[in-house]
Amino acid sequence: MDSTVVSTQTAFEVFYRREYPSLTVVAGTVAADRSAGEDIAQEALAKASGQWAKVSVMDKPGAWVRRVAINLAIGRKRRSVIEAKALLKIGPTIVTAAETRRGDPAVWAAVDQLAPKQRAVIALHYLEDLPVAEIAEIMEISLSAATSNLHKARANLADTLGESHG
Amino acid sequence: MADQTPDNDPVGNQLRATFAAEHADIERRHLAQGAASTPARSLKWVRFAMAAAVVAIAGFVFIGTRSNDQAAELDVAAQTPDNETPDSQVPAGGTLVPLDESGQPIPTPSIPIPSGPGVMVPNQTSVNMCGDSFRSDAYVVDANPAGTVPVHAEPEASAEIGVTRMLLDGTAVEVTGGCTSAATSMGTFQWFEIRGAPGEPNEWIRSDYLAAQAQPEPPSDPARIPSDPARNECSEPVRLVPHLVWGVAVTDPDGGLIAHTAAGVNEPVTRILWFDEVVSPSRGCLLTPNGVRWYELGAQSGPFEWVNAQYLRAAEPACLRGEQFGTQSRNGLLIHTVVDGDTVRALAARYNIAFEELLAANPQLDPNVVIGGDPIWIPGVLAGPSLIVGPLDGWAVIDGDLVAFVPSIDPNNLDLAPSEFSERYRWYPADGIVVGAPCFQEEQPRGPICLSGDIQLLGLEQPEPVWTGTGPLTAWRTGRIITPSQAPGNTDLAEVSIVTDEDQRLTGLINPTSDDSVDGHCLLTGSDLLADQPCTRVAGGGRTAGLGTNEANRSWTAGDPASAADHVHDIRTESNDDCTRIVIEFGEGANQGESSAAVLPALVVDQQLESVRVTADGWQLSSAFGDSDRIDYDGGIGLLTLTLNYEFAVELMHREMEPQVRFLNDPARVVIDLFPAEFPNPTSTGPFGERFVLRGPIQQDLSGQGIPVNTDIMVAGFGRPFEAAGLYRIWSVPNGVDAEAFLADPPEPLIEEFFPTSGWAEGWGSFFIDLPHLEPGAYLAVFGELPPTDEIGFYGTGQLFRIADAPAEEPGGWPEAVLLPNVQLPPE
Repeated sequence: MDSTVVSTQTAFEVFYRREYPSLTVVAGTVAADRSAGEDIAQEALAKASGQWAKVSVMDKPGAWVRRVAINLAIGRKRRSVIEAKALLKIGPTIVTAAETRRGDPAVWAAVDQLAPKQRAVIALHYLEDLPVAEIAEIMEISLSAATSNLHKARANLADTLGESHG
Repeated sequence: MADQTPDNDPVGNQLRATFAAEHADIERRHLAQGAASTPARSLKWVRFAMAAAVVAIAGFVFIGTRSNDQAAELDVAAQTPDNETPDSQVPAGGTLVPLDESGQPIPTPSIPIPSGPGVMVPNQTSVNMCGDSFRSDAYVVDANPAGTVPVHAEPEASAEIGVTRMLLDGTAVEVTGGCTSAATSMGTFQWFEIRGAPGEPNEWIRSDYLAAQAQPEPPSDPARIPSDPARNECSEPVRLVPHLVWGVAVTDPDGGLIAHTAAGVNEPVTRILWFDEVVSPSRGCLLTPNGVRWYELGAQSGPFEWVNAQYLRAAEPACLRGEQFGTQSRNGLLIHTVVDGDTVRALAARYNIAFEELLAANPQLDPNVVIGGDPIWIPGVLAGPSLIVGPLDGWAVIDGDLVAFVPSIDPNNLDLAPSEFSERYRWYPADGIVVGAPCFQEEQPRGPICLSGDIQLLGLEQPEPVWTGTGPLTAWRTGRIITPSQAPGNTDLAEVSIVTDEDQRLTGLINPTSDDSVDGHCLLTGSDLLADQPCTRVAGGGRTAGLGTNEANRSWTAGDPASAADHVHDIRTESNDDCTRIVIEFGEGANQGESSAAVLPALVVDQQLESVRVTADGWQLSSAFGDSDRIDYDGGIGLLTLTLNYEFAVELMHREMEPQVRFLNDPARVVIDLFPAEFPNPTSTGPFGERFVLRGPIQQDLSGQGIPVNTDIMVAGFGRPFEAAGLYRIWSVPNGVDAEAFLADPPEPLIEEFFPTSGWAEGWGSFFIDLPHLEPGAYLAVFGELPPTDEIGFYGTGQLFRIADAPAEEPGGWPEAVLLPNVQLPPE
């Protein structure tokens, strides 16, 4: 069979379809907002698309796009002020109702109270089942920082959700 | 990290379930969107165009209908932290076009989806086209209800095409590195290339038919992970004192000293100890191959936790005296905790230091993104001083003209795991802290002391008289004695609290060995009538010292063994709105013209939660005014009891009363003032008559916890109807038993025992029963009067309880212990 039919576009499409749901959850968790998560996931994937020639040959394009999404999500809050000013300049925009997230609302409420980095670590660990080393790699932080973030996040969640942390 | 296996990681399980639900929902919507729209629309390019700010973030350039001014403003606002070049643009129509690296538009991805039988899915032997979602783990066939799954010569768009063989569930497969993924008419699947049958080419299988096998845990190295936490390979024993984390750079990107599951920097990390934390080593000390000592800490989240001992300093007991101002860290760096709105540039401006200097002091910092809660070290700025007031015991390490001091770490709990929020140390001037000895030593036993003659109470902070007076005055020792080296004149000084004649409560220091003071209460004289002497909480603070406390199991002695008293002469009670007073008066000349005794005999006062018991200390009555008697007072009853060997007990039993005891001579009296208690009484709902009281572990069971096996259980009660003896019966019962139905026709009890009562008066009695140890299980106990000889039946009160294998509640086990209402058993 002729494997050259695997065009750049085909591979990206596959990549897009595969990564979009997880990316949305991770970004939405960090941004504490599902709609924002969708936007951020799309932005991150748009970046991947724009630089697909570089991204596609990476060892872990999935890790790259997660890093982009997490950075976008973490930086989103500060930018929201800029966004608001920008939107005022360009006039009316479409306002969509906030998406309701599935699962236990208490868990979401507890996760939303975490620091953004802790949210990212939690999502990568418990949604994607990634080991701490990979989380550290994705977030470009040290292994011990990732461990510490995960530990603190778990402790905070345990406090909020009522588990005695051990 | 804590043990996070699914079984004991409830938080993790909640998170997994919630994330999975959210993921499934998004995936479902995503697939539905993808099926109903073109790929370009499914990418929501249009939404990008509508959200200008999002466009700005992504580095897109909006070139639609807005003015150039607006565009310029947006472009300024859109400066991204990493100065990325714009990588796409949005034309006027609102469709986003990605840009290539040279800024030229590249076509929107538009990919034909393989569909239908016979469509080849792109693949290549040993080439992973699935990105990092492919893992070369060990897999077994799993997940097909039919029990077999097809294997294909090539990845296929249809399950029926190109099947080479069927594999049974549980068959192990060897993945060879090839992976591809495609959306087909059947859905989106990954296909893994697997080793073919012997002699046959490699094959392909859908990844959802495979289950990853758990990777075996790496074998532990017994040389590095000792089974005994007390193992010490080092030449000297580990000092079991608080250790300060020492010499860790505050600018370390990790913020501190890293603890590991075993000795060695490459071992798994358990947590990070901050540069100013205090830890408690246990006895373990290991030497790494290059001779570095590692200490075991009281583990926070597992059996072992080890740190490099060169970053720890053993602290010495220390006394902080007077007022001291401390700073936050030895090198004077302020730690700023990031809050929303902070930026690195703003912080630099705020603290008036160069941006570059701030970055240099914080190599961990991303100048573009700071996160709320992150610590940022501000060089050259001293933390504001914090006041601490002594004398205060603690632990300290001297470092030049400063002392690192941590107050009040309990040296008795060093073997315990440090808490999540460990103690922190701060820095103080060395001349304000005496290192090497604590301010105070614990003194046993605590108790009252009678001060006579001229009394000087010295101040705690300054050893100068703060109060002077004349005894006799009862002072209450607080259990601390100031260390001689810390005391003026190098003499022992005891910390006491007193109540002055002006009803002023003071705490200070006295010399406890003075000839003018004796242990025990002052034997005062005077009237015991409420009209003359209102009820007084004689101990300072009521619940903190002396008999003015509701602490259980406190015992006191008073009186003089040489007293001529030989009987209880009178018991009387008096009440007003404030309190109830009970006076026990002792007499002499029993049966020979009895009269009041002048001097109180030696007594033991035993105070329980809901009773006061006064007995003679080595004293036998020759007579008394009655074998037993009872007094009634607001909230309880009192029973005077004589036993066969003429020992006596005056026992007051009540609910929610706070006793205060004083001793008076001439005539010899014990005065017990009972105040309405300010503390909740968990046992007061027990119905045995109106006065049934359960004590000991059984009352813990009321909260639903089982009683740990082999715990001593005492049941105490008083009330009526009562006989001179009682009977209790215990049955082993099934979980969920209907106690009333069970008692309507009870089988032979497991245990049936008589128990004596402490006395009897007009049907009132009291008892204490030590229950035998029971095997784990559920039980029903009934405590009542002597078994009947008439038709009335056995009358008493019941208790359901559970003896637990372990303190923890078993899931689905006995829900909780309950007190039954009055129980009446059928006649035997």
